[in-house]
Amino acid sequence: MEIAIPHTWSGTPAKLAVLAILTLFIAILTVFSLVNNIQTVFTHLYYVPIIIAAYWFGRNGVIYTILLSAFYFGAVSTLGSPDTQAILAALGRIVVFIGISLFAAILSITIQRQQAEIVKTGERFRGVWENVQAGIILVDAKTHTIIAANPEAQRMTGFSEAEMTGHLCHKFICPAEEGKCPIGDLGLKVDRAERVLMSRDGSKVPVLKTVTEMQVGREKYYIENFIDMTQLKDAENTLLAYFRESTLRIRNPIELVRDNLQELKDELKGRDANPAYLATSLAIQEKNMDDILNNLQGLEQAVAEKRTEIPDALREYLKR
Amino acid sequence: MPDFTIHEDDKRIILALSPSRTYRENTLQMIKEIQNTGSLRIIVICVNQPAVFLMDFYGKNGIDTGRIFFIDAITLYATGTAPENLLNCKFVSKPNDLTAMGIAVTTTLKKFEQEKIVILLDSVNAMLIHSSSSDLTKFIHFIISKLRIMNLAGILLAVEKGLDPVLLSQLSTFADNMVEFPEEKTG
Repeated sequence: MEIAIPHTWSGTPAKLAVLAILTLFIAILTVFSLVNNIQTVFTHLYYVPIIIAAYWFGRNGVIYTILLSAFYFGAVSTLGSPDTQAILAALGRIVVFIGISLFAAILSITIQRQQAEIVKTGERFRGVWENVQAGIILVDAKTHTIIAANPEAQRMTGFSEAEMTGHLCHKFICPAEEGKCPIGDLGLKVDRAERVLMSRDGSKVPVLKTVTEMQVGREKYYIENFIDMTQLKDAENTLLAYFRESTLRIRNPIELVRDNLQELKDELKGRDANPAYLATSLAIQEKNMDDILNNLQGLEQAVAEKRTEIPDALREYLKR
Repeated sequence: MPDFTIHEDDKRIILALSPSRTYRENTLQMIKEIQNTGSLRIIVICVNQPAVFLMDFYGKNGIDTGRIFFIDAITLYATGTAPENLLNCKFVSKPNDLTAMGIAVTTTLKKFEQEKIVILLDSVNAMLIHSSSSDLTKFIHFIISKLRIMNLAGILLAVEKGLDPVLLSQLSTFADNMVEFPEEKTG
């Protein structure tokens, strides 16, 4: 069973209280021992507050030890009947007290710095994990179960991390069949490859995907990271539609007009065309060319209105 | 010339693709084949050539123009006037007025409801000058649905290589058959 210590019990006031009680206890014990001419044994109890103070308060812990040692030396010098040997023994103990305190303080400061560094690194990693504009999913390479997913991956799939964790990636976020994992089973490399990500609503999100392997101890993981290409694909499809419509409504009609004019030319060569026919045919081709120009203008205007990234001068020119 | 036999009870929708060089000759040949196989009335929706000249051209090439009715969408648009004494022709003001074209088709089909009819759309490519591909698809879908309801046959004429794969695949889905004319001239 895990015992949770309330935060108020582990803060600085609580530590100071513990240290004060221990100091009081040690002081009483020292006075009592020295009055009864006991010079040893009780001094071993000094190590407890000294180590605790150095561990908790670092440099201030060392100052505390110096003060406690001064009290101890004063007590030894004034209480009972100390001889030179007892004074020297007390000084020796004081040196050990301060040495242990210094060692514990240095150790404590080193541990605290390392802990701070770990916390800082963790915060940096969390910041990147939570704010990166790419979906990242951590998958256990052995079981193919999802271990973690960052917020972008959650946004793209529509699943929360809790819903994804523990799930097999096949048929969940990856369209590959079980046993046909491109990385684990087929030995393929996925490096900035165009793939699809399956989302909660059943739609397939086009992504640029990279999968890398990561080894932590004996465990192997796949880091699947992917960038949403929906907007890029939409723009690509718009461009294709534009080209398609341009070809259908400009290039092909121009070819048709060209063929019609060719026919007219052939008829003129034969000298059997009547003027009314020629006038009407030319009027039709003129109208056709007008409409082709209108089509072109319509396409230009559609581009000018829909594409926000084009310069204003070009937009005005296209919309003229 | 590919097999182009259309019987009186035919209900097929055919997508006919012809090379541009032989387009006129192939159209002519097709109409002759249709007239040879029965007493079908042909309704030609013309968008590229005026009905008057098509009538003249067909007549000169041995086609019975009395069995052809024209829905002309180009003459009024190009010249501003239309011949008044033409009985077997209905004029539509603009080729991009697909609603008016639809109405013209409906009224013409009603006019000849006692007869066996085949509709000839001349041509898909010319219509693309005046209408967007999506509007054109809707219009063709409307015409084909009408023909299917009335159990009539229809032919969609197009210039080969003049349609993109997406539109071609849409039209192929609407049609029952696709006929491709060879590159060489037909006789």
